[in-house]
Amino acid sequence: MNRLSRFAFAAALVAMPAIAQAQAQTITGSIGAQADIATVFAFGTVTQMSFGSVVPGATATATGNIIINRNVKVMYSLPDAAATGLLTLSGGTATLQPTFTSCGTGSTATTITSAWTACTPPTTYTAAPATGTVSEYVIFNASLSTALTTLPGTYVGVIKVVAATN
Amino acid sequence: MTPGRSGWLLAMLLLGSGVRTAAGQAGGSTTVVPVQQLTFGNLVPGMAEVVSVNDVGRRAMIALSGSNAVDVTFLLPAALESATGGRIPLQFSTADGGVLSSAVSLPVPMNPHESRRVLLAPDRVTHILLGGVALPAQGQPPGHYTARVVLLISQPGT
Repeated sequence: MNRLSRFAFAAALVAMPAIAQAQAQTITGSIGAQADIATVFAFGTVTQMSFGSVVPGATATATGNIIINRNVKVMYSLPDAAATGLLTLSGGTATLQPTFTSCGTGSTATTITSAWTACTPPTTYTAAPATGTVSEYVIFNASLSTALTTLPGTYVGVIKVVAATN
Repeated sequence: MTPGRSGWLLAMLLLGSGVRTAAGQAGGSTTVVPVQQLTFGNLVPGMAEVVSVNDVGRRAMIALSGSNAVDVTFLLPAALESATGGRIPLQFSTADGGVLSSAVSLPVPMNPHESRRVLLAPDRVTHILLGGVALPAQGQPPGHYTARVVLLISQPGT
């Protein structure tokens, strides 16, 4: 080993502690930060669809709605399909099937802004609201035709609406 | 190589080893323990949520113990993120940091955007505190959002 190489070797040995010192004297800690945005997804107030007192042979119309509060995507369906809202005579078996003239969703109880085709809900998810939680109305407009032979009495039924998130 | 030269090199190696150990002791004697995470809780979309550095239940708290002066530096996250890619921006003001040197004292303000020298003492635990603001958007998707706040502790002069 000549003088120069011995000097370089010694210099390297001297430099090593400084590197080790810098590495050893920095330590790191970490801690979490967290928040939650809750899912809002619930049906609210129902406005019943009432055709009132119908004279046999006449046709009546009615509208009804249900509020859904949501901040997520949703897909609606009508599990009873063609029998949605079927009215059955109380204490009897006679039925009346309303004809749904328009259905869909809207931001008010009276105006449909997103109509369902032939009152069949879309089979894709409606987008999540862009402005946080919204109160959306699911609206049904229907007519009810009766015959002269329709039995008198009170007819009741249910419109089943299913809402699913993804 | 003569015996004299061997002895000289051995001395150099021991010197190197000794400094490294001393440095290890200086760094190793400082311990960092996460105590409490920064918790914004349930947020309302479109409404900023503030966690004060004086909010005992929700501020971040990290315990330091040791016997040296250390430089404390935050690496602050820009946003909370969800598993589905959602982001909630975070803001940290110059008054959102704090140093609490004992259980009974009030925190000394600390700018979390700058390094701060803290004198640790062996007879007490020093807590580094952090508050902040979360800014969820109007249409913020539901979910659980998280981030990591990193604290660098270094010996002065390194």
